[in-house]
Amino acid sequence: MTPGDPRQEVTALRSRLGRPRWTTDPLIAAGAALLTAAVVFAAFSCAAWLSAPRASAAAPVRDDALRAGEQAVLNFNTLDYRKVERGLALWAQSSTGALHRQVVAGKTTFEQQVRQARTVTTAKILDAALTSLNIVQGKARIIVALQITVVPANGTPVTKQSRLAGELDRTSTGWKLSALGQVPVSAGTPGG
Amino acid sequence: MSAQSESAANAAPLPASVADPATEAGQDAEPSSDHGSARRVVAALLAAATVAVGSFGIWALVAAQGLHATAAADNVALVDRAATGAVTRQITHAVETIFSYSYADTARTKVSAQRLLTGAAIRQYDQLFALVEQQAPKQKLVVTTRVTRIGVELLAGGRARLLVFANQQDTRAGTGQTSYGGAMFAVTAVDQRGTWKIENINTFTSGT
Repeated sequence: MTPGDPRQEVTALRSRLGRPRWTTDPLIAAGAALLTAAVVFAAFSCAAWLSAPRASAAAPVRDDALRAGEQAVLNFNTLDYRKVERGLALWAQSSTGALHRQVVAGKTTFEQQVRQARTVTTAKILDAALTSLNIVQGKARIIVALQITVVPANGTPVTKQSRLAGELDRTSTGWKLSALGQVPVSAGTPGG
Repeated sequence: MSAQSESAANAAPLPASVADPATEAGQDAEPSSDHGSARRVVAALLAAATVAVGSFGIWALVAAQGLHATAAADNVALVDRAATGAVTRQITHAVETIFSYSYADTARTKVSAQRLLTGAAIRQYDQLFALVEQQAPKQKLVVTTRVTRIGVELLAGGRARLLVFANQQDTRAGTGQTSYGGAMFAVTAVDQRGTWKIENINTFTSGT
């Protein structure tokens, strides 16, 4: 028996059975190898895509809270004695919780005071930032560097800078101020 | 059986060799053309599948690159708590260090400041500090600055912008007088190999 015979016999057998010679066909074998390589490559690429960082859902909430907080602080430092009612209505809209209660309770008295003083107060935000954000509880803290201009009855505008700190609560109608005040220049104690 | 037929084929070569190729040819003639065209179809299918799968792989890589690029520019202030905490702590320390000094050793503050500042801030600070070096010894001034509020507005791609409220206590050692002041300023910082350095300080006065 010659060495090549068994192989010839197998191939002869196969062709007699009508089966194609896939495994020994170099073209098919090369094609299968390339496809396998492509599948491995695609698997790695897919893994890379799945594990790539995606935009966080928290960022828009943060931006919303900061914008709403800035607008609310602006509203609270804008008041024209000729349009007091509208101004204070805006204060009420911009606030919630304790601050809102204060605004509503002191409305009438405050209106009188402003009309008597005949002041026009406008403000400009120099800079603002959130100092804390808790999305789950819907609470945030904001600090605002503010420039306020007050035009009193005698007409000479006075401009000053102010450091404000506020607390924000998320309500069904958006983020609102629940507290607002100046940051004190305390007697050298760290943490204000 | 097969051994016998094989030896039979070898023993009678002419009819066998005629027969076998004929058998092969005969059996291949029909499946051969089918086999040939089937082979081409399979090869074509493999090629098409390779192109499709390979294209998907390339698309996925490109998409992953895009995601990485966008993420690098995302503002993660307050979203990435660890990073926000780190920049807040480091800038708090930097501000308190560069704005606190004693008339007895102003050089010490100046040296520390060089490590904490970079770019334009070094120039700004050196100009400011030249005044301090003149005035502090005359008034025996000891200045302590403490940050009371600090918020991060922007934290992205190794850059940060913060709003800082700080209280300053000035004591004149000679007279024992103490005065207090409040300051507010915006700080721009850059991440240099894990250390945040102040690049610019904006005190909201016109011309700054």
